[in-house]
Amino acid sequence: MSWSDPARRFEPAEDVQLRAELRDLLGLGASAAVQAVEPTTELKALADDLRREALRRSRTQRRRPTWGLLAAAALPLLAALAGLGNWGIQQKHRADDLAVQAQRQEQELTRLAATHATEVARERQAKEEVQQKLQLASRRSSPKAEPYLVIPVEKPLKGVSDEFQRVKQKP
Amino acid sequence: MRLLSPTFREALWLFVVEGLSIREIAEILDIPEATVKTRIHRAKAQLKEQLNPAGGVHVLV
Repeated sequence: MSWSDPARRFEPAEDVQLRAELRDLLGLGASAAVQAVEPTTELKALADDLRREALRRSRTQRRRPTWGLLAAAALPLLAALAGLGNWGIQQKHRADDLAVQAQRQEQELTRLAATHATEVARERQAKEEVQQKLQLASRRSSPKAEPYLVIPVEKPLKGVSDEFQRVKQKP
Repeated sequence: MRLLSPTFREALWLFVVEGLSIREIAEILDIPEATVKTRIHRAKAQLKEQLNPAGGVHVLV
């Protein structure tokens, strides 16, 4: 079926009128007159040129992207975003676990430090009590003992001076 | 007609000489029907400017 077959289309009246106006404007007149006129070489070349151009444009003209194409183009991006989100959630869970573990360790260290301090204080108190008991016991064991000074001497005094030489009394 | 731009010229040619409807031209050129109508009307306006408005000889050149 050719393009100019009148049975294949229905045209509004305004389009028919517009076509008639344009024919008059171009000096083509009625369609019968056009068919009667023998087309010149230049007219044929122009027609071929226009047909080729229309065919080329219909083949090469870029079609509008459909939703399917847009979805297919967005699919890798969505997959990347999903992967990134999953990785982020995993990292967040990992960070939360580490924070909880660190908090537990800190609590354990605090508890150990408190226990250690308590034991040290207890031992110090016990030591003081033992010292006090020893002092009391030593005081009770020698109540009359007079305090005297002990001077350690490495070698005995041999050369005693005359002043302190003990002599036997003459009868 | 050669003075028209290629887009206007092809729409005008398909509509007037080939006798195609607006819808058919839109399908062939893969453009909306409103665009076809706009091109045809603009081509008509340019033709009126180029041709002699006093009723001179119309020549398809």
